[in-house]
Amino acid sequence: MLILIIRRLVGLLATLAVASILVFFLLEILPGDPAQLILGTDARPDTLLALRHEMGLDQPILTRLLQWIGELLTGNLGMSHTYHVPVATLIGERLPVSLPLALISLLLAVVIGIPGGILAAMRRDTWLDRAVRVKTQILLAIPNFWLAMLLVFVFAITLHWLPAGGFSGWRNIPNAISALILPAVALAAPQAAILARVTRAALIENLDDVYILAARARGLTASAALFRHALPNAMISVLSIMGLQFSFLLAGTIIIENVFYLPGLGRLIFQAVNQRDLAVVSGASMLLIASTIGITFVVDLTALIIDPRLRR
Amino acid sequence: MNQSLFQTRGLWIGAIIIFSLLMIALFSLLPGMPDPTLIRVAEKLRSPSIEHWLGTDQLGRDLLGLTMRGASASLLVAIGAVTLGAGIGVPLGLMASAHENWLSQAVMRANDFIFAFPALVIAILLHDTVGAGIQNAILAIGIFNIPVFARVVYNKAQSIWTLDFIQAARLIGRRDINIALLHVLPLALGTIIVQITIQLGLGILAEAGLSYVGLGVTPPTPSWGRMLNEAQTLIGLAPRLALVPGLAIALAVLGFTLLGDALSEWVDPRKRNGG
Repeated sequence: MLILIIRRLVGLLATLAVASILVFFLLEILPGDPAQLILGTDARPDTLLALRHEMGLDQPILTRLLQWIGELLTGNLGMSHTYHVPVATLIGERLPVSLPLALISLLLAVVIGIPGGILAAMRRDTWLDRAVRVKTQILLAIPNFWLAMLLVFVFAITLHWLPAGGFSGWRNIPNAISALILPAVALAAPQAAILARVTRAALIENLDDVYILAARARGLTASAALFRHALPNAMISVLSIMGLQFSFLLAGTIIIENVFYLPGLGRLIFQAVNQRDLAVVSGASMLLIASTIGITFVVDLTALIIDPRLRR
Repeated sequence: MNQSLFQTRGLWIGAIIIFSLLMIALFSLLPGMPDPTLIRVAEKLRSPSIEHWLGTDQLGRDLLGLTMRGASASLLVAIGAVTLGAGIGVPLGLMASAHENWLSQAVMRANDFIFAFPALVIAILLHDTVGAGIQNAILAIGIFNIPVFARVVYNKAQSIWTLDFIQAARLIGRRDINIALLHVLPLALGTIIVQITIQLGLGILAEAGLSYVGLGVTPPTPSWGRMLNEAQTLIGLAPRLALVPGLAIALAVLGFTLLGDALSEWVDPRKRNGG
């Protein structure tokens, strides 16, 4: 077990290293001189040179790569050139929006998706199963930003129940939560559909297994066999999907943050790319990538602890 | 087997939606059709009438015409992205499955890897490198299709390579590439077709998202995603401007999902009673 964990840990570090190098080169191939873009086309040559020096752009590429990795290791992500504050501070300001939003969305998706999947698996091949299936297909086909617009139209413009967008911070907690409800619903809808489908498929796969037959033969009722035996086994694949969903929600909210004018991580990256604020782009992307890799790692480990068969 | 009827229905509904979509896209491109991009500010935001069945938008363009023409952009991007993804991904997956080596490891890892990257960030970076337009959208979506196809083909082909007749072909000295093309590919074709259907649906969704944030099809080419973007500020005034393109996207994606689900059951009969 310990060797297994160490081996995974080495894999995790290697993936992170490759990811950081990849991010560096992705930004390197961007056309245009960042210093020129900041100063404009009519900048004086000596100002340009000075800024290039300040940004370290006059260093050879290998030096800058090593510098970037060193910065990552120390957690010092550099300075933003548009906001003139450290990148870490900027990210720290945005996380209180993105993180709760991702958590609320995932919670909604779990509360709707998993019972839906269980219900469909329990009443397999009935009208209920088909209804869940059709509903998930429809939810998956709807673009979440369109759903967001419809929600705004109904609940903000027509009914005036919830705000149409914006976020004024956590000082007023009810206001903050009501600002996050509509975006969270829009984000959660397709994720709930995915969870329902995965839960149903994993449950049915386990329900068809002989151990369920054995449990039924021992006298367990169908639902007791499902909840006590099939469900825990099915949860392993559901858990790994949830891990992916969380990191997706953290990163994939760019469009939804734009719809609702939420000052989250996604918007930060979106604006930073347009302003050629490379330190922000690389720092924030790296954080999202690292969180995805990290969450996958934790989920893998949890699966190993839950399921002894995986340890072989 | 009482489910098979329902599933056939799904296949037919999906097929009819996709067929209509193709026809609408082709029809809207016919030379005799009125130009939907024609701006007539005097006729802006008209309600539906005989002349404009779905009314006009904020620039006086015919909403029905725009939506119909939008189908062609959506399909073009989705098909282009799938061609790119399958064109590179399928050979990669086939090659990787022939022998356990660095390539198979790379294919397996690349999939986990590319999805760790925020997709939209890659699209934005590409936008700055390649420029805007249809080719950028195809590239941005197609890149994500490559590992998907490679992984799916790899997983399917791996079990095919162990079949007896493949071993026999190897024993009589057939070259791997011949076996792959002659025997493995035909057996994996069903799986590939299912994946193509799924990725076409996802491609339409992705194109809509890209165009919505201004990274996809450039004006004046009509696109459902950008129509939604333009309708957003007008949603209180003319909700149909947001309803129509959104419904078009949802229907098109649903068509591909239904088709893909039904086909996957046809390819894998074990699934017929389940997931």
